[in-house]
Amino acid sequence: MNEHLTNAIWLNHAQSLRSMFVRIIGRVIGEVGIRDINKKIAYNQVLDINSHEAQQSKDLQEAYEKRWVDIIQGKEFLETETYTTNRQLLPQEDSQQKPQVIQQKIDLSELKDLIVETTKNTIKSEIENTQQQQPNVDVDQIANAIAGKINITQPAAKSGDGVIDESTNVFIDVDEDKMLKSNIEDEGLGTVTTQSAKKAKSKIKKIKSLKSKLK
Amino acid sequence: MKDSKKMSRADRKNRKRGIGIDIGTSFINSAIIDANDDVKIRTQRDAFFDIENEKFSRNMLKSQKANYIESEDGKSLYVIGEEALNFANVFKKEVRRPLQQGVISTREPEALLMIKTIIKNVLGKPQSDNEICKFSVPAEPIDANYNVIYHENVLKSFVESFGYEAEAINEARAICYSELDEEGFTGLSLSFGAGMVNASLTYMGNPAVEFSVSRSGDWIDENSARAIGERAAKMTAVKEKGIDLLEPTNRHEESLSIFYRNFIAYVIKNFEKKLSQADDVPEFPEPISIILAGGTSLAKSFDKVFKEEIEKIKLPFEIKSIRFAEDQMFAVAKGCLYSAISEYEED
Repeated sequence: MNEHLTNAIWLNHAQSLRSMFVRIIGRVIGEVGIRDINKKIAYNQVLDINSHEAQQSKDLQEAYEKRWVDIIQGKEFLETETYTTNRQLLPQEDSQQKPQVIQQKIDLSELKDLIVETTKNTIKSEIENTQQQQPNVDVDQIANAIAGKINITQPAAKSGDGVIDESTNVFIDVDEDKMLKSNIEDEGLGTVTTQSAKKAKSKIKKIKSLKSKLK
Repeated sequence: MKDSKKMSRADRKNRKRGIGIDIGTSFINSAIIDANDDVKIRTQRDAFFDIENEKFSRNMLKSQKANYIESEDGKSLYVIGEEALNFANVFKKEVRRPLQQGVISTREPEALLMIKTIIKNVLGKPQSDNEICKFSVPAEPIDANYNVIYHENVLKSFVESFGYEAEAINEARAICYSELDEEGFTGLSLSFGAGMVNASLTYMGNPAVEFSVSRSGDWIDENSARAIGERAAKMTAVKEKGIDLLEPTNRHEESLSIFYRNFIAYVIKNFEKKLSQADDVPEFPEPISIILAGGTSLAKSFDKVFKEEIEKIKLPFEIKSIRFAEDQMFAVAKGCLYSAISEYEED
């Protein structure tokens, strides 16, 4: 058997032995959270994700489309509309469903009520199960005492905070109010060069007319 | 052309609405048109040098009238601007940069706050609420595996936090606005910065192909320094003093000129590759001009070497002329400024 043919057979077999994962690399300085599969990837970090998980992750799909991550290996697992190999792709969930990259708003009051109710039921059922006679135990009082310890105050909102409607904002952690201390006076940096604006005015006119034509 | 340190209060207050800022790896330049119809460009070197935060250091910096920023933990002082380069050369060390290869550096943990402080100061306060500010951004590199999304978004959020309405503009396209008006905004504009080379091929102001190459002045400095066992900061100083690429006079200049030519050839080869692959290169009815701008193009005979190298390749258009921008250092800032002012109705 010639060498070329041997290699071809080997490659063909190796293909089927290759592990089924998607290898991605972070392309955003900072960290990208792929929340629906509970993964995080930093800039230039390489991460292997099980192909099954990768297929199900809408966040990964979005991060890839927006180029927050690149796929080094296993791109075919995310190309859901085409079947280039004999691998059967898993059926996709509702494609209209919005990816869960935006933080969910949690109603803490509702959560508190749920805890109170669950506590009451749990203590009652425990007493019944153990058949202990403890007439002095006030289940409601205990449950309410626990509830009282739950702080439902939301963290103070920063100025300018609103509803996050663009998922890009979720990942970029830039504290807009933060500045470093310095000895620099207002507009005291650099040197200023002055030039005549005669030519500038005619150029601005031409740009204006170009823009109006393009509109 | 006049140089000074300060801009008067009246200049700032009565200036035309619209401001441009070129945020480059080596320099940050902002441009306005003041009440006297003069274009004023504030330029600041985008570099820093760290020293220990002690009383002695602070007094020394004060006596030198050097600007500095304190590190977040208060342990260091970052001398910024021209003085940083002087300190680096005195201490025989390298300067540090908040930007690297055209985008916010991943090597510098405090790059974000550093760049924010510099931009805030160079821009100054807006003339009116939500005044339009056009800031330059690079195009995606064709020879490196990183993107500019984060860089653009962070800069936008910074500029907006100072009270402006911020809009990004490709830096080579900004050169088209400042230099190609006589040719109907048609041609190839090239910005040779410190971190990258940006290219924009435009037809009547419409960008047809835009891309960048992730090698430029810093690459020349680093490699020419390594070749002769020198520091990159020293090579930057030699280069900025002025060299003739065709007539180097010493070892430093010889090394610089070798790497300059190698760099120009590399950039042109990448252009050829990109333009041959692009589907959307328009058919230009007439030969077009090529504009060379940016600090790296300031070396004497740069245009001659560029011409020699570009003649070796095949381009999908004919060249009418290859010329330097009227103002190589400030062509991007001016293009951003013109574009910003043109958004307003008044003349």
